[in-house]
Amino acid sequence: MKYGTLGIGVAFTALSLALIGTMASDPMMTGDMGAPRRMTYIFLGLLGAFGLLLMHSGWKELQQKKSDAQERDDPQKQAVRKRFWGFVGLCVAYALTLSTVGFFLPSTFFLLFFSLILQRIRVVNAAIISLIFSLAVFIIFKSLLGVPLP
Amino acid sequence: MDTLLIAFQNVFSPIGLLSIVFGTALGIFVGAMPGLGPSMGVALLIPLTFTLPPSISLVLLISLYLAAEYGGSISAVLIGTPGTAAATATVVDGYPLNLLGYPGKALMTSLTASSIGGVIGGVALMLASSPIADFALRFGPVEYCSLGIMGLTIIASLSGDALVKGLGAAALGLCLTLVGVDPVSGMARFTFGMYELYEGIPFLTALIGLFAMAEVFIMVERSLGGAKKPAISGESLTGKEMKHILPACLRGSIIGTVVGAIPGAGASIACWIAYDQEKRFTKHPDRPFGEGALRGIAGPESANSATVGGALIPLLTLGMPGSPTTAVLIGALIIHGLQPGPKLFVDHVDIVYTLFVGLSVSYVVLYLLGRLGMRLWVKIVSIPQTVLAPIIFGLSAVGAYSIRSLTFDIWLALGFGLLGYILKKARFPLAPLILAMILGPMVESNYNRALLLAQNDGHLIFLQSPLSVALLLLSVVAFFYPIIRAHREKKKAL
Repeated sequence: MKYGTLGIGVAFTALSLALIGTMASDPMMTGDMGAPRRMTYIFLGLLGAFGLLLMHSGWKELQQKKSDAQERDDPQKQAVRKRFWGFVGLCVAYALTLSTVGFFLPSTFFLLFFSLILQRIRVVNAAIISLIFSLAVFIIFKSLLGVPLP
Repeated sequence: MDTLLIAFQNVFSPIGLLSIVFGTALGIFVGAMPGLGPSMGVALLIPLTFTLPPSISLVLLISLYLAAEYGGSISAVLIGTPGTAAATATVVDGYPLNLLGYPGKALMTSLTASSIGGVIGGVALMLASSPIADFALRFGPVEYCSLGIMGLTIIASLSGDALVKGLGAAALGLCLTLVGVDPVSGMARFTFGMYELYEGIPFLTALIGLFAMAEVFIMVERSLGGAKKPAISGESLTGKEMKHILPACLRGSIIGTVVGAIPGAGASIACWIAYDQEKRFTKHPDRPFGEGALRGIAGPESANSATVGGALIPLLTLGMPGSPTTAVLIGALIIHGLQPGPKLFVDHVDIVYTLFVGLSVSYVVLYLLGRLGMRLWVKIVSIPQTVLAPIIFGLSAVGAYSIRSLTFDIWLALGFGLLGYILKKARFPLAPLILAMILGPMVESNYNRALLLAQNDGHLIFLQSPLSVALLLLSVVAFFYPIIRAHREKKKAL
């Protein structure tokens, strides 16, 4: 991650400033800064301070790193990147359907898609893995242990 | 005596024994699979324990923890990839020994050393925990606040080369604990109108995201090629070799127990210290170090197993996690209505004893399962991660939902998964973040209570207790020592 540390430093600083900003508009937070509020300010202050330090070390890291333009063009890396974002997209879709349709139907289908996206696996094998997973969750979690499922 | 009898009854009940066998087998599995690990295994197993009695749940989770520390050595020896961070030192001599045609010898050394390390760590836990808990009963809010601060500084200082990153991760963890209703004023903090956040960020959901989902994302990105197919052959250990590795096991166990008990240190540090010590102490190794020396396997393996008992000491007696896995175990204790700390030894002594007895039985089961199932464990290593990744993701979703029966928590876990992925990619250690999420509320609530007690003294109250002063001084040393050391090393290099 070329901009990893720098980006995280910026995010930490911005987050601490934004959160302190939300407290400033709170009538209970203005005026007396008693002990309960003091810890909140200390924690947020620490986040902001380390955000700045991370920005500093991220900037230094960036200057030391050579350009990774060649890496970006690597077709294998591009394939990995596509597969990764495809997986993240499926995860989000899976979470969405879990909230609306329930657990078993989306799990069976998404597990099948996940397996197919991730490697060259025969559809029949992927389907068997998905069915075994759903069945195992049903027997162990739902029937035997009574764990709540979406 | 009655309590001990109850503990034996709990452990030797059918469900107790089944839990130990299941936990151990699952532990070897998650340990052997590179990318999985004890923290993820325990986090994913917690939802399964909801309906079990608390004592059995803990025995199950701790069996998994112990076995996973051994499991990491299987892939380290067979494919040269450590299954867990704790098995990194095992690769150095374990893999060359495998290449020389002695994988059986390497695995038996690892299993024997792990069992010895586990027993010694467990004995230390049993001997040390009661006196420490008795002593900790005298702690008040002032001491607890100082203890929490010391824990935070030690954790951060153990972040290795990434000191600023470790401290930054800890600061983020502290801020995450601010979400929810303020325990003193009763005001909602940073909930942004979402009622799901009024009780704060559920710790287990965060853990499932950070350990399981983040690892799934890493797995997806990392594994393009198929898994290696290892095989097992070669002779086992001879009596002479057993005698040769015994001193290494003892040294490693002591190192593991001590390092494990230090908050934030854990098995990944202990194994390297033990390896270094073996190189210093062994004048006549069977093979040169780095080329398959048995003591090079035995020392680190006994050390990483001994850290389990060591890490449980501060967890049970002070409520301070010694490692990321014990941080997950704190979540399990809380889910079952148990507050880790000295009061556990007063209010739930039967559970503590069940844990001790269960831990002792787990070592025996680990040795038996490890020995009998060696050929099966070898096959585990060849399961492609691309098959495991979607299954782990599905189990993570179930786990996140089952804690509060809220679909919001699935999204929260997914968010933490992405956060964990970004932090890991940028080489931030996750342990300080997790441990700060535990120590944050401890520091905040005790700080507020201490100031209420102080009345006119204000912050001077922290300097009126000798123990608090000692803990704060230790915090200062723990914070500045790595900075000074790094500065000195830089100067030397120039």
